[in-house]
Formats: sequence, C-alpha cells, structure tokens
Amino acid sequence: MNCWRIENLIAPFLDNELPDAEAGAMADHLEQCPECSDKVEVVAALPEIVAPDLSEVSSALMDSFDECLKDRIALSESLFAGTSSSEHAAESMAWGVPSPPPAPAARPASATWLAVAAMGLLLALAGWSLFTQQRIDELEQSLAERDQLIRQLEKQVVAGRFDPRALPQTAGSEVVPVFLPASAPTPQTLPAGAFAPISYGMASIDSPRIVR
Amino acid sequence: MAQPSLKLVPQPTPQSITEDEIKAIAARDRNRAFDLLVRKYRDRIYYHALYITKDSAEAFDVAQDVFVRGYHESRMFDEGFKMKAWLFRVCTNRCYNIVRDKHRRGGILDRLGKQTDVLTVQHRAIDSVLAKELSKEMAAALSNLSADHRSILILRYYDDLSYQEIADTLQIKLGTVMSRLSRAKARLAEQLRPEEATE
Ligand SMILES: [Zn+2]
Repeated sequence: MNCWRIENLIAPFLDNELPDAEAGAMADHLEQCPECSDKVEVVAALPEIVAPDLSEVSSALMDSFDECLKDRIALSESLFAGTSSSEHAAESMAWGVPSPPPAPAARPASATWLAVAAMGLLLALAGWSLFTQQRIDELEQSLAERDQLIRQLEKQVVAGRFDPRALPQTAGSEVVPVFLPASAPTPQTLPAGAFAPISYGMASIDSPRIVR
Repeated sequence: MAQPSLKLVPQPTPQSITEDEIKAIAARDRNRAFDLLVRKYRDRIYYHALYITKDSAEAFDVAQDVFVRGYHESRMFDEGFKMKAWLFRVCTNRCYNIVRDKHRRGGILDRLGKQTDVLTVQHRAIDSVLAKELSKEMAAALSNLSADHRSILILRYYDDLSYQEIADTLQIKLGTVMSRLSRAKARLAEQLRPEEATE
C-alpha cells in the first residue's frame, strides 16, 4: 500500500469502515511510514464533529410541519397537476388524518393561539412562495429562450442576412422563424421604432427588443 | 422561546420503523406510508437543510418542498428505492440552488418574511441559537471548507449517514466517499491548526 492510497483512507480507517484486510495493510504501512502516521494522527486528534443541538428550540416549529405539508401537497396538486387534480387533492387532504398532531392540552392558551396563528400564516406563505417560485421559474425559462432567440436574430440582422419584417406573427414564442439563407438579398433599413421595450408582465425589460 | 411544557407531549414519531416496513404498508395504503415516511425523516431533512442554508425559514421551506416532491415521486415505495438517500439528495440539491440564488431571490423572500411576524419568531429563535453554535471553533472551520468537503462532513457527522448512504445520496462511488472524507478531514485539521499546515 503506497502513501497516496493511505491518504485517501484516513477517514474510513479511523471510522472503522475498512475491510479487515485493508485495515491490516494500512496499519502495517503506518508502522513503517512516519509521514503517513503523522497525517493520521493529525486527523485522529480532531475534536468530535457533532451537530448543533437545536431539538429544543425547533420542536415548536416541527409541530406545525405536517399540517403545513398537507396543505402544500394539496396546493401542489390543485395548481400544477395536469390530470384529475380534484381527485388527487381530495386524496392528499386526507393524508395525515389518521395521526393528528399532539393535543395541545399541556400547552398554555397563549401558545396554542400562537401556534394556530403561526400555522395560518405559514400556510399562506407556503402557498404564495410555491406559486411565486414556479411562476418565476417559468418566466425565467421563457425569458431565457426569448433572449437566446433574439440574440440569434440580432446577429442575423447585423450580418445583413435577415429581414426582421420576415418574422412570423408569433416570433419569440413557440414558432421558430425561418431564417433567410445567406444568399438572400440585402434587407431594407429597419423601420423607425423597430427597437422598443417589451413588458413581460412580471417585470418590465427595458433593453432593446426587436418588434414588428 | 424554549417551551418546556412541549416536552410533556412526545411526538408520535416512529423513527425506528424501517424503509421496508414503510414499503409494505404502502402496498395497502400509500398515504399512510407517506405519513410514516414524513415522520421518520422530516426532522433530519429540516436539520440538513438548516446546516447548509443556516436559515430556519429557508430550511423549513426546503424540507417542505422535499416532501412535496417525495409525494409526487412515483418510485418512492418501489422495491429497492433508497428513500433516505433520495430525500437527502433532493434536499442537498435544493439547498445549494437556494444558497446560489439567494442573492437573486432574497428581495422577495425578505419582504415576504417581514409579513409573517408570528412565524418568524420561531425561525429567529432557531437562527439565533444556530448562529451561536456555528460561531464555535469547529463549525467555523467547517464553513471555511469547499462545498464538496463541507457537504460530505455534514452528511457523515451531522446527519450521521453511513458511507453507503452518502455514496447513494451524492451518487458517487464508495471509494470516492472514503477519499473525499479523508481529504475533507485533513483540510479541517489544517483549518483548526493552521500553524502546522505551513510546511
Ligand atoms: Zn506512507
């Protein structure tokens, strides 16, 4: 066993995760090689790596996890599932019913009220952020596609190989415009106002865009 | 924000149930199986997200999202499907996307956060304890490592995953788990004893 190999086995060696034969070979090497045994000792001397203990402070939050999730699953189905969404939503609303959260008997009244209020706000937040995030993803995707298409078109225009007026009605969305061949006649100059901002609804993009 | 009274009401969390038992239940009642899956892993997934994002509100959101995806994962209860590795993998990926996109989306989330005063009390309490814990020497050294090294150390020593589970989670070979962990620990030792790392 060479030194390079030893260096890659320090952790499993110390964690007792090596097969016996390999651990034995490694122990033999360490007896003869002070460099490697130094390296192992440095790692072995590390203090224990333990997770921060947050169980106490997070238990109240985790109490609301299941309820929140139930609602979020229902939302995910009703908003985004393509097929028989109502059936699935009903099914998922039933999820968790056999095991409701612990009774709040031991909890002071104010804490119960707090939990109820928290849950309500949480549900609203979860729904809103899920929706927003999906929406942002969709918009970004479509913006990226448009940007790429527009960059291609701009190159063609600059190279004089494409007349923007040849764009089909749905330019930039589903239909990919047919580019003129390189041998096409040089286009006329662009009409005035050919470059103008386009708003995509979510955010207005003010950089120049080709419009018809 | 610690509420001692809550300790009198233990969570009905069957963390000892095995994945095979959950799969057997899924054959009869998928929703019940999913319920058990959530109860088995939700805390650990939330903590994992918390260790990476260091933000309770984000971590809660990620953990919720992981299980929403899990609910829609049709292979979840298939024989041989590694639920735990799947959950940790989805969670890890989601967290790093968030850490990466935080700058871009932070504006929206921050404004949203300010509207949910009651909930943020809980999140802030967790964040402040976490910040205190993370300022300790070991955690601080961890945060100076590369994302790859930090991830694998968190999975192994914070989340307590086995070598094989880490391999499944990160979709790397067992040998790579061993070498990456070894190098990560060596780097960590350098961080904690910088005077000896200068040769
Ligand atoms: Zn050696």
